[in-house]
Amino acid sequence: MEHPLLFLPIILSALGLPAYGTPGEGSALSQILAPHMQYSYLAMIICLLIARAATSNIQMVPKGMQNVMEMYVEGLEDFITEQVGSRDKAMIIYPMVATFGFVIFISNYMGLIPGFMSPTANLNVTLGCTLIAIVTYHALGIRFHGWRYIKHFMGPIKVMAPFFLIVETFSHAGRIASLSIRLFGNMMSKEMLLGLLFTMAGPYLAPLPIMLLGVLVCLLQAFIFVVLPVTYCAEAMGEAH
Amino acid sequence: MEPETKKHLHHMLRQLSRVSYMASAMVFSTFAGVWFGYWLDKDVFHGKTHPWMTIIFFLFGLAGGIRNLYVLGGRMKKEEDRRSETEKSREEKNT
Repeated sequence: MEHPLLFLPIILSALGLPAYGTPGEGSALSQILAPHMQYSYLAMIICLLIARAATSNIQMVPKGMQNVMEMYVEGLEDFITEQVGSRDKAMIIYPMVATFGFVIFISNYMGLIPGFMSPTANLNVTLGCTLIAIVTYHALGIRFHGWRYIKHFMGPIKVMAPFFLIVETFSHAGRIASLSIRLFGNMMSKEMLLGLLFTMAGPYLAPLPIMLLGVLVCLLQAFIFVVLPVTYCAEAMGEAH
Repeated sequence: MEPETKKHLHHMLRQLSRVSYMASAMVFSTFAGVWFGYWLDKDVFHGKTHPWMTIIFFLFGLAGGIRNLYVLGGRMKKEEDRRSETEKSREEKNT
């Protein structure tokens, strides 16, 4: 079978490891070392390195990496506080959302470098992130409202409650699908299109417009993956209708 | 970067993200409904109720999608109100 030209799997398979595993097949090791997993690990390592670079030499007047990270942390904190309403509530979801934003931003942009792939172009990765967000916001709803959280699913009219319960179930199921499949679809379609253009239309100028579009889409999708969990959490923590 | 350009870019990013979300929220909620109805028809009732469950749950899914849009629309309106209020108060301070 032919494989896409990716640096990390080439290095790992040269070391004698099963680096081209597909999800659901083969041994546990080959699944742990599947290409999208390798690049997820790489994204995590890059995140840690950037965090380390930003915090290793903290100064009163920020310079370099510290400047960038402070801008990100501060901007996101303001944004979440504005959405959720109070700073205490914002601080509960802040770590999760900030991590999502950072990891997904880096993984999206990794796909634009030749020889690397976006881990987010694999449904398993995006679905994992989505499930974390979904479980968190339901857990927060139960924590803040107890059993009354079910009122969020009942709608404003008492007689219509069973109907609303079904409708809300599907609207929440739709959230899972839309959050995971949108990110996956955008990244996947970008990579497919680039691959097709590279092979069919020549490697120099033809893929350029798609790459430009990819730069925009990567930023946009990372931004959406920050905005939506915040919106859902704010929804679950706020009062029902 | 000029503050005006920055503001404009930020605004545009937000609008783009909303548009992208709205489309998918509607579509996938409907999809979830249809899939569940189809599963009921095919595997639970073994085709006896075909195609009624699919149609009914398609409608439920559609309603769920519209409900998603409704929730998001309400949130957007709140945000816009807040923004126009802060801008108004800023203008009053300036004058």
